Amino acid sequence: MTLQQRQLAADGATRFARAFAVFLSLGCAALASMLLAEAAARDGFSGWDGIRALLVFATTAWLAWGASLALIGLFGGRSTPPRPALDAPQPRTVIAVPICNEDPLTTFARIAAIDRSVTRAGVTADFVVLSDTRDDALAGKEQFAFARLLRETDGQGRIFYRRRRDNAGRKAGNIEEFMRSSGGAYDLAVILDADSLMEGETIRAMIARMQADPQLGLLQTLPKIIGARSFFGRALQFASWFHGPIFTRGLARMQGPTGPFWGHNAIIRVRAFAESCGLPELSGPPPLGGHILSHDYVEAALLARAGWKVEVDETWGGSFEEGPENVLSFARRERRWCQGNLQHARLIFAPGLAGWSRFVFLQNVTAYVVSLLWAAFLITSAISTLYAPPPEYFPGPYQLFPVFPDTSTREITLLALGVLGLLVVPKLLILLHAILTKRARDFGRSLRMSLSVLTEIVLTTLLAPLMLLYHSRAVLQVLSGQDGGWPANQRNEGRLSLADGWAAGRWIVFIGAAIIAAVQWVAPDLTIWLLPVAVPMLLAPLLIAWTSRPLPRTLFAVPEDAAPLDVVAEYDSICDVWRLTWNDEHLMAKPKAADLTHAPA
Amino acid sequence: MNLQDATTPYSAMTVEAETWMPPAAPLAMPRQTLERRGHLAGLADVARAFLLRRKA
Repeated sequence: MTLQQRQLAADGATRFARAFAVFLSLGCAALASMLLAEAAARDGFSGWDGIRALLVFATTAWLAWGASLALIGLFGGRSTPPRPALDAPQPRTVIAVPICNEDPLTTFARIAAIDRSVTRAGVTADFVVLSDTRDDALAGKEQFAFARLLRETDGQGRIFYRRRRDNAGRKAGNIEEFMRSSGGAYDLAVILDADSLMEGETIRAMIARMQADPQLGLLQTLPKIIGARSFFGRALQFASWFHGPIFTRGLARMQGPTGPFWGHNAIIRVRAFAESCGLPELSGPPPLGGHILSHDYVEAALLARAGWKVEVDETWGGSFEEGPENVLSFARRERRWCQGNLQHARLIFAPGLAGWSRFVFLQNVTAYVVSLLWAAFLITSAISTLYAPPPEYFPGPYQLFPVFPDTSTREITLLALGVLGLLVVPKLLILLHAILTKRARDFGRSLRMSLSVLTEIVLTTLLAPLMLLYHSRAVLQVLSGQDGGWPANQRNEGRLSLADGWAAGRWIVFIGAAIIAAVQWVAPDLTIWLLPVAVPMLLAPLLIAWTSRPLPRTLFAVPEDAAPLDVVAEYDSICDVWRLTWNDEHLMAKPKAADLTHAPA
Repeated sequence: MNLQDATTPYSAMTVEAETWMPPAAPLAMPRQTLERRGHLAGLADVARAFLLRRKA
């Protein structure tokens, strides 16, 4: 541990929270493993049973770790973070929006809305759009939209646009290029995504926190999903508003001064970032070598390595993003993140990192590998029955009456209930907390909120086997050397038909059918235990299509439905006006490639 | 800023459109070291950090 890291060592409450999470995880894992071993020992403990016990240990530990975040968030989170006032003179701040092949109308409408909100909040900040758009025609539309933005915001001289021809390093490289060429003009930078919206008051509060704490290198907000229309999208949106703050509160307590960076809706100290976060290319080819894809976690670790605090604050309300609207776009995003996270395996032993940063990298890898472990558990459970000795009804000589074998139903039932409990109980506790603390009125009051929570639990339970297969496939693709790259998000994807669901999900149907057939052949007694996993797989095309359908706002109500925040209402209004007068033929002339002429710093 | 600057790790071929470029204010951003020559060295670092923490 370096001197700077010792100065940032976790306080007592954080160390206690970590110890609690470790104790709970290992305790639950040991209990699960013992139950399985006890059940398996009834007909002789084979090598396969040993493997199953280890797999159950690892997977249960992971589930319990997630549950501990919720418990710490509910009962052991830190008190409300400080809210200092913003002193004059304000730090020189830029709001940076890296984009790549985004819809120009909505992207620049968001910037216009944020600009108005920031102005109302009394914040002085520049904006810069950092374009990595590859397509010249789309870049032309971007520049048309930018010209409009400049006119409507009177933003000449404070709202900038830069398009990179070479998108080496993708988003991280895009931001780095800006840092290298213009970073010296600013003290702080708010990093947004193309679909980010932030309230001016929230940005003001973030700047004030950075101003008041010179050791704070990065401050991350909790973006909440807005604008969801489909069943799947609204379920995700509800979870981000309802469960997200509690889990993040637990995360904030556990991470202490070595917090996360999620790549957007955060503010960074420019010099600290520039000095610490110049990312190298990893040796070897992609997918595990080359440019670092999930760069945000690495940048957070590098800031901590250099002695800067990295914190997350989930209490601010004015931070938003959009989310995937259907299972397929969610799975595509997961594929990108899987590859980025598996790269972190190469960084666990990077020199000089804080211990917690190394552990975060391990968690990131585990988040996807655990699906393979679950799949392996199911497979080995079926295989182990092939090696179980047949029951011996007459173990003794001259025995008159048969001895029926003990079943392991009790242990397996307890194990299944325990695993389900780890998944469901934290959400039910958050529900109870919301009812008792009147949080319920923000979510449609107790009855509607309870229905939303229960529906979300049912939906995630149904989709879990699909996600298990998507994650397992992603991990196997990465480990077999397939580079998925980092394609730009396809935002605002619409409804999927049953044909779309079948095209995307038939491989899942085949696997589900194969599982049932195989288990029915080798171990018929296990079939009923595997139905909760296999039946959703058989229904995958239907689930994919059906959850992409629009959903009325009666279910999954969130505070933003009843009373949209100003910046969201402003964005909607600007979009409506721009759409009426948007004309794709009004493209700018092709921009001239010339020497750079930067605005004065 | 010189577009042809060989020390710039990423090709900074940018396109100017009127006066939209952000202010010129270069800032050094050195490449960080994330890989060791061997994993044994990394393991030694982790072990050393663990032992130092225990001593403290």
